[in-house]
Amino acid sequence: MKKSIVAVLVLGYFGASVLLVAGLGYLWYGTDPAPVQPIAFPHTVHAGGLQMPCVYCHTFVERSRSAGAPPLEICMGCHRSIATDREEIRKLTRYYEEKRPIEWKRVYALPDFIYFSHKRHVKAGVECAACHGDVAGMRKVRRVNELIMGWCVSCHRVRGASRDCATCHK
Amino acid sequence: MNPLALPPALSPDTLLLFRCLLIVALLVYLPYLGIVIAGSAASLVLNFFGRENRDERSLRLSREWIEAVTVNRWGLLLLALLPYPAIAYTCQRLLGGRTSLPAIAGLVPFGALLAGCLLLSLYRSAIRRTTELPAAPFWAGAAGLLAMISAAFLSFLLLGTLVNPSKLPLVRSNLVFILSWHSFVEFFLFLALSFGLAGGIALRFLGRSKAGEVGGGPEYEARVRTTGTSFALAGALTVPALVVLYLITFPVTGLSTEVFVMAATVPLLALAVFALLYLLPGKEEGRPGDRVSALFVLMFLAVILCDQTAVGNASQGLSAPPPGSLAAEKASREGTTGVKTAAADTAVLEKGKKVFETICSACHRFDSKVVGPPLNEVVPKYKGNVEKLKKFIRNPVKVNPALPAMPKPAIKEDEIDAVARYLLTKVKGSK
Repeated sequence: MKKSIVAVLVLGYFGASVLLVAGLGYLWYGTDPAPVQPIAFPHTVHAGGLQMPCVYCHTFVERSRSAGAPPLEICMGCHRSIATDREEIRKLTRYYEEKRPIEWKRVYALPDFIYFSHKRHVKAGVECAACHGDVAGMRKVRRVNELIMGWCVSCHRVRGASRDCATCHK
Repeated sequence: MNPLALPPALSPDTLLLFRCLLIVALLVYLPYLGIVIAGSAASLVLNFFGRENRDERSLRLSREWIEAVTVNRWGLLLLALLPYPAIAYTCQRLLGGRTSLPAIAGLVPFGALLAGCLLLSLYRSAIRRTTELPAAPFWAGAAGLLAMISAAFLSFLLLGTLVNPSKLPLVRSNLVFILSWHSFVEFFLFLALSFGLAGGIALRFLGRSKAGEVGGGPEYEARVRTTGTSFALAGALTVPALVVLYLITFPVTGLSTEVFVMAATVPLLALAVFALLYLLPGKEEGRPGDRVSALFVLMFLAVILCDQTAVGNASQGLSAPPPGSLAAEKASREGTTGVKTAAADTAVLEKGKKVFETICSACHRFDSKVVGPPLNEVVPKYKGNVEKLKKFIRNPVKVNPALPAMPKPAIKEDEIDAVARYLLTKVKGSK
């Protein structure tokens, strides 16, 4: 009798741990570092093979806090006539014709209490790849850094940038 | 040279080779180190209490433990010492070398391992002479155990850095950053698995008394069985909770579905151990040691594979930036603004170059076809006529039916002028 109670309790414990692992997996799925995007845009083709500069599409990176996803006009500038028979480009054209924005899944996000400006970092000569990794080699964009404070601060220290709290925490 | 730039990536084949080597080395090193730690801890505790209580069986068990886990001197050397240089070397290569890590990651744990092996051998040879140990070899054994534990802990710090390579620049600037919750939890998971495996080893190898030996007999065998079973059960019961903690502290960039699947197999294997030792009746007469040990080795394998999958995930895309990215562009721009030339012409050409590099270069190269035709072929057709070229850029029309029509570029009139002039100067034979 006593043995069976212990057995049930322990089995429950094992079961709970497996369920917890599954639950964590489910939670992680929401914060996937490489989320599935509405259109499978290959950076390998554009930034890799064609060597298009990052700024060609991420037009705001040099003059704004956010780099910005390109407006559909930029895509359609070429894709009105290039590779129009591909499935993903058809999808793109549909978005464009229906005047709907593409809801890209966010890969990098900073909390609200952090002031971060792409413009300042680009002006200081920080390469895109220093934070975003080798995007040109990614078929699907993947988060390569966790954007933790120590990481920011160590780079600020090495480059002699301000380490005042108010620089980032406004 | 950017001091924070990540080391250049190894070729995929080399990477795969190093990763396989690391997995094999870890699969020898970690379980064996675990057995040594758990076994010598058990031996030391039993020896201490055996001497206090004058308990012959404890003393005998204490001797058997240390004899079983240290195999012999060559075993210690081959299984604990030799894999470590391979591990440190592959980790260094995977991290890219050139770091402040070698001293800490390479020499200190190796020194600790060496000291641990020597001290434990001392303890072992002393206990073989007499189980009534004097203080000196006993404390030598304790120091050896401590050295082994610290070597294991430092190894996990090193492995933790592999899972989170974006922390590498931090570690280079300050070694404190090598500490992480993930490494701590992984170390405790390692200890739990080690005690479990040592329990399995005890059930398999210990308590085989020869007839007529002092302190032997069925009572002693029962004692060995209880010890082994409780070690294995303690390991099996702590493992699931630690696996959950292990996943919670995982760096997000390392996770993937495979990691979760492999992590989920560990509690299931632990459940099998529990079933084998507790639920299935009548098995106690047999020797479940083989199966228990095998299950714990499988758990080790699952955790190591889990970790190495995460290393693969986390290092994806983390390589040297491609040349000709924003930095090169930036450098070329800054380099020319440094040369303050009065000639307005040069300024226009520079502007044209910038427009070309940010807009036109998306589809055009000078010497090869990308999306549009090579400019060295088409620009000469304008024979130096700026207005004609400007007209085309302003409002492109399809010329070559084999190529897609050029889209109208979103640039201003002065930029069109600049880029047209730049192209005509750049392409030889167009004037």
